[in-house]
Amino acid sequence: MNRRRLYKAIFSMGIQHSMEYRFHFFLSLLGAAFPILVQYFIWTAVYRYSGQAALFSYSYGQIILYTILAGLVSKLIATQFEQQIADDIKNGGLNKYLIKPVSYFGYRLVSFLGQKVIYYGITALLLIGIIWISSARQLLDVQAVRLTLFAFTLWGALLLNFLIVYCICAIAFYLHEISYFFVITSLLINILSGGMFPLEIFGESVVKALQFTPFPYTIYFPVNVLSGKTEMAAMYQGLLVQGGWILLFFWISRLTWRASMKKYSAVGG
Amino acid sequence: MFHTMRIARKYMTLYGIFIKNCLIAQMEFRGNFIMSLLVESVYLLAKLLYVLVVFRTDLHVNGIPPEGLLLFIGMHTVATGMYVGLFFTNFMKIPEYIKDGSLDLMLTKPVSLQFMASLRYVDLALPIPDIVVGFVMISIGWNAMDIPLTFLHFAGFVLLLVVSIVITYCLMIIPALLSFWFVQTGSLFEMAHSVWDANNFPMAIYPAWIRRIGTFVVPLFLITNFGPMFLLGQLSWLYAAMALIGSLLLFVAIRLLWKQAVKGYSSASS
Repeated sequence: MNRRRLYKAIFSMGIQHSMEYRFHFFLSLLGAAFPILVQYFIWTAVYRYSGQAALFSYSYGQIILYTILAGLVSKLIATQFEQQIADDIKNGGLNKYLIKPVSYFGYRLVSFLGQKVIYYGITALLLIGIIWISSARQLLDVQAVRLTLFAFTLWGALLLNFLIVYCICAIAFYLHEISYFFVITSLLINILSGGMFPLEIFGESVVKALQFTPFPYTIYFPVNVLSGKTEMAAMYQGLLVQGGWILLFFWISRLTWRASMKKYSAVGG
Repeated sequence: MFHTMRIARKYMTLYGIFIKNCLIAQMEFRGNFIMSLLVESVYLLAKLLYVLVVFRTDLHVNGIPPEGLLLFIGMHTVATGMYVGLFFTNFMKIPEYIKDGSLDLMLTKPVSLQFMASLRYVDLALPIPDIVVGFVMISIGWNAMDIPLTFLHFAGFVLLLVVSIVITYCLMIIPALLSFWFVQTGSLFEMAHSVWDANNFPMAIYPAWIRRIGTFVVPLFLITNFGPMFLLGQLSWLYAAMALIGSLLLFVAIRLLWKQAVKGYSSASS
């Protein structure tokens, strides 16, 4: 089977997999709406009491828009394959990939992208609605260049998050019981990426320090590109930095997996 | 009367044995115990971000300053600790019992099936960070709001804490109960958990219609609002007593619903 046909098959398997649980997906979208609603009421109370036009450099409209967009983007880039990889390593499921002419990394990446295609489409529809409403309420100045860059950086965010998680998964070669570990890392990464609150609530120095990490480039940066909070020049610079992180993590993932694979003892399978 | 006392004593002894048994099991896997502690601490850290926002914006809700809001956030944290410690593991297991038929074995035991299925496991690691940090927040709020530490204040607060545990049990068991009728309830639990976090703040931040639903229809707000409101003098003894009666009625309703659900149990896969 040639490579293109192989990856096409894996991609379509990913799509089928995501469609298998579509009811679950819609319910989880609904579930994601609750924290957004709670935050909406909290921010409304905060702005009403403070009487200030802007807090943490966000106006009331901007912070609500941030909350909604960050909720959507974090749902979109979320990975669910950590446990599968850990199981493959623990129970020897990895063996069948090692002896076949297919790269495990390629398999996971293409299958992940396949799973996300439908989500991306639905998120895009929701985004169109949100952008339309917020531009009608003059919260958002819709610019073609921002929309295009947002679409780009969203794919970048998807890829970067995949690579970060894939690197973390290599730890499964060393630890046997790792499900707890994934819960901790995914929550911490979400907080540091600005998935719960805009990073500004931590203070200026923390925002500056976090700029030197890959995390803001998965949620905080794409959201601010769309909302217009990021300046034009900073936007292109951010896009380059995001690309740099993707390359770096691609390299790290190869390195860690190559080193860890030497430890792999192929138990079971 | 004597008979009821004897039954209550039997169940209390049994619950004591459950706790002892769970402690022994958890101590066997000490690494897991520490990991559970860590996981819950990270969740707690995420919740504390709300405290950060409250203090950084100097948020006042209905005239209650940030320190007073700690009473509410602290109460929510304690309630979360109680939930994950006493009920969470059990409620997640109920759908499995139904699916794989292990409920059959429980049916044959000479104790109440609901007691056995919904209270068998107690997690002693998960609640530690929540309960410790929650009570610290409540103490800070209690002190900052100059609430006198009298027996009456204390008794009222403890009473409302018990009410909150009873309501938590009744509301959070609903997704598990639904699994008698539906097979896949994972997303229902997910929804229930995201609604649970709506309690992180005083209900005064929500519009009146949400407050009414959350108090009278699905009494979610009673879990964390009534205790602090009582301490702040916003809730009379009458309402506290009504909350107690309401929670007991809710428990009776859940008990009847459970019995109804078990009637339809067909022991499909065993």
